Amino acid sequence: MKKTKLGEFEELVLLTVAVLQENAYGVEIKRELEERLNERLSVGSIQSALKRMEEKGFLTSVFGESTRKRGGKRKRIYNATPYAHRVLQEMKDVRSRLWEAIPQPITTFQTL
Amino acid sequence: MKTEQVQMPPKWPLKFLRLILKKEYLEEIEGDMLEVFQDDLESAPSKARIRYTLQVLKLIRPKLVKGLSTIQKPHYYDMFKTYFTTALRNLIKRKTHTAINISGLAIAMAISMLIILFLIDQDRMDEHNPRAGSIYRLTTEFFDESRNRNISHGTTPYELAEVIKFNVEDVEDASQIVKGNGNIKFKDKVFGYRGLYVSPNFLGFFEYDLLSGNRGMALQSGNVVLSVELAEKLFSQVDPVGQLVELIDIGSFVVSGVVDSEAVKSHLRFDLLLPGEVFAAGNKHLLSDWGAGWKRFYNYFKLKEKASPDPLLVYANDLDSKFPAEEKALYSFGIQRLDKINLGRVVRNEVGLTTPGMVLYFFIVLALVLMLSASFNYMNLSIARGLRRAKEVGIRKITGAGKMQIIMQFLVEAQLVMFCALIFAFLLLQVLVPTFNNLKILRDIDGAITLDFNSNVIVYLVFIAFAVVVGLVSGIYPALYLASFKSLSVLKGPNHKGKSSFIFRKILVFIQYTFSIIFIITTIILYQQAQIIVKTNYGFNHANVMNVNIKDLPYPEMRNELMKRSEIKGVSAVSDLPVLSSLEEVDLVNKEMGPETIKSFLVSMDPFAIDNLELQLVSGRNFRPGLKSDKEQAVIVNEKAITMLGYADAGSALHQTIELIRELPTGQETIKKKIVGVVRDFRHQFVMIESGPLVMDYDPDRLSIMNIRFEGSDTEMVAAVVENIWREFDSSHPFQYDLYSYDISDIDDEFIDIVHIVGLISAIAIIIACLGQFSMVLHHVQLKVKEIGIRKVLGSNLSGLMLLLSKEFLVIILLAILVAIPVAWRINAFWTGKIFESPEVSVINISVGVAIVFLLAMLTIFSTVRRAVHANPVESLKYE
Repeated sequence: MKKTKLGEFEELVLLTVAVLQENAYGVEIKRELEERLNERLSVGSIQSALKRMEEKGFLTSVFGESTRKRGGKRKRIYNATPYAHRVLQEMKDVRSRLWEAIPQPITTFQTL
Repeated sequence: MKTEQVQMPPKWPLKFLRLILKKEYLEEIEGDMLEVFQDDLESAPSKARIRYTLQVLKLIRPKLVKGLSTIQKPHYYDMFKTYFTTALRNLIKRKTHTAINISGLAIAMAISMLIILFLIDQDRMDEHNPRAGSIYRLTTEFFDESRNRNISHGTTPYELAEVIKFNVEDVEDASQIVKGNGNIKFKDKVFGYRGLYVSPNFLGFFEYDLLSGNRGMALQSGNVVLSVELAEKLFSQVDPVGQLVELIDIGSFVVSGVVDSEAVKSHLRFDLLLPGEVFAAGNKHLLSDWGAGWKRFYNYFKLKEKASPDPLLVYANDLDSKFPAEEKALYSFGIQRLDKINLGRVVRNEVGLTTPGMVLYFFIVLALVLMLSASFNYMNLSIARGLRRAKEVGIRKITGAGKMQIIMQFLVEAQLVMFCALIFAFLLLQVLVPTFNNLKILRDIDGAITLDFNSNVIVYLVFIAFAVVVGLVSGIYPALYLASFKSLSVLKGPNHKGKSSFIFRKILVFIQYTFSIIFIITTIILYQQAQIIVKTNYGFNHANVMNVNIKDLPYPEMRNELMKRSEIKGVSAVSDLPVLSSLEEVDLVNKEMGPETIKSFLVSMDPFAIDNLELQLVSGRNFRPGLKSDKEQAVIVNEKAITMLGYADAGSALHQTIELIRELPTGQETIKKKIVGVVRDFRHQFVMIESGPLVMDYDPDRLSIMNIRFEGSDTEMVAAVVENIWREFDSSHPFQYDLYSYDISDIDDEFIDIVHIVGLISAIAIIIACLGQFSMVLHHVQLKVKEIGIRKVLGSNLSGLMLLLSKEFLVIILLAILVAIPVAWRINAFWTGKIFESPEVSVINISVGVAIVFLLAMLTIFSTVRRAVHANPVESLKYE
């Protein structure tokens, strides 16, 4: 677990990449995340997360098509590696185990 | 037709992006940014550009930008890094000195930057025209015999344009302009306008773009072009093009275009452009008669690329002159390049208001004085501190540092201080610019400046270059001086070179104080003059007087109607308003005394004016209403005229005949006049101009402005009453009135603005000088801490010690005073004599100024010295 070093924001971006599949490029990821998180994100934050994760081996990327809207510049399509899928699964497991371990009586606070 | 087009984001952030991002990421991220920008354009078009810029800034992340690691470090990188660190440590270690340096420099820089901004802005005038460098305007140089020099006028005779266009080879095109203001009416809305009658090629010639309408057809006959400002006022909702408007007294015209005159800075100011033929049709006599017409026409010529204007000028001067025969020799032609009209030589009869080049030099000198004073402080402090760092220099040298490296070290330090100062100066500027733009004079010359980054990139570069230059200038001497220390001698003992540098620093402080004293004396004198202006007794009562234009209206009938109203105490009429308008200049001759003429001003008025404006008759009588002989012959003069004409007193001048010579367009006219009355001198000119001799005649035809004296303070109500009566006589023009006192105080305000500027600058000069003085004393005292301690222990008294420590500084100030007084006296006597009627450079003025500077300096010295003297000697002896 310790070796993976996946930050919270990175995890979100990685999950989005996994969700978007072949449509996972910078702006689309930003759009999707903005909608889900309901807050504005900058291109810079997304891009630096993508680059970091690519370096760590969570993502691979290839150039995609270019559009008029992008002034003829090509997209870069990201793809989550099997390693990334494994790490995501591990994190999810760790979390759910933790959730299960929380003792129940939280509701009693309301009566205090 | 609108094609679908990809709108591009602002340019410079994109350039920045390309500069900083890692190459391999560039294509992707640039595309992403563009896509986001397009999305923003759809959702929030107004914010898209700002968001784009912010997004670019947010891209500066270590992962994405070219790291420092990827740039090949130059071999001297580490060296500079050390210089920088050492400099920073030194600055932080000596906080007081650094603060003094930076604040002084920041203030001076802010003022200089303001001046740079203003000058660059003014210099840009007319530069929107790509051909500005090959467009020239002819000027008429009229030789003024009484002043023995040429007076330039922007206007030239009409015929020149055509003759020159066809006969001078290099001239590509010519364009002509005549000024003509008036009123424009659309439906029930009426506004005044500043108009220009122009040649059909005007828009192309001066490169004005039309916001709507067709540029080629816009100035054909029957059309007018409006400025965007006037168009918005007249047609708030409707599309102006194609609308029919009425120019009162001229006729109906179709609006053919709207020109964005606010977007370009030009010496031409207008709200409305009319085809020149409208003017030509009504003023045929002005076209061929040079003598009558030369003051009306502005002639511009476009030369072929890179052609010299000399043939044009030579040709114009060689033309067969058609000026009145007896004056032919007095006229010649000059030439001005379009982009040199503003900030150029002083030209009368200008199309709009321009800033003369003299103002440029005045401002540059002010900025230089301030900046020099602040860099003197820096030099002073660096040298003083350098003495303490002699050991550092010595050790550096022994461990192998070359002279060059030590010089670099100190220069880097200077640059660091300059950049800190630059940042503070920039913050200060944010406050200064709005204040500056609010000055009345600037509003009049359209001098408002902006700090908008996009249009001012050059300005910012100039600022940075400016800081570097100031850093070099103030850093080089201390650097050279400190680098010249001999390592062995400084290590042996301190202060070997102390003496000679101390003299240099004393000279710097001396110069600063000299300037401060000159500045403050000037301020005091200006301030006093301002007081005179504000409190001035004009010698007539302009309070509660409403001025209304009555050209072409039946004045006597209107007067009768107005006088029936109880609110109105008196009504009279004059040809021009004393103080506010420029009065006609005439020559007077008293034949009994000889043929010499004296210059005088002429105002026509009706018999009621003397009572209504509360002028005082000292002798003789007023004009008699309706008396034919009075209208033809009688004049009332002021006391100055009596003296100048050579009469012993007012009584003896009565019933005497004088000759009045008027310059009319048709030639000179000499009229015999009889003095029937003498009035006490009153001001008929703005305070800065001498109110000399004045002649008043009774010429009902020349009356053009009605003065209505009313009771109470409810101007609006009185205005409504007057308007009602006025409407009965004239329903087409808008009713306009001015309050005499308001207009007079308006002029005063401009002058007071100047006083404030000079006052502020002298205050700054003094503050900077005191800062320098303060730090020098502080340093001096610190050097002598031990001496003071020993002296105290041995029993010397406090006042003796104080005197000992401040003696040297007192001498500097006294010397500065000795030098500054005569200089300030000379300078002020020179310029006040030129502009004020009653120049007053008195001993009191000068001594007050000197006293202020002296006291401030004393305060600076003693506050520092006192602290040192009162310190516990035991503490100071423990020092080191």
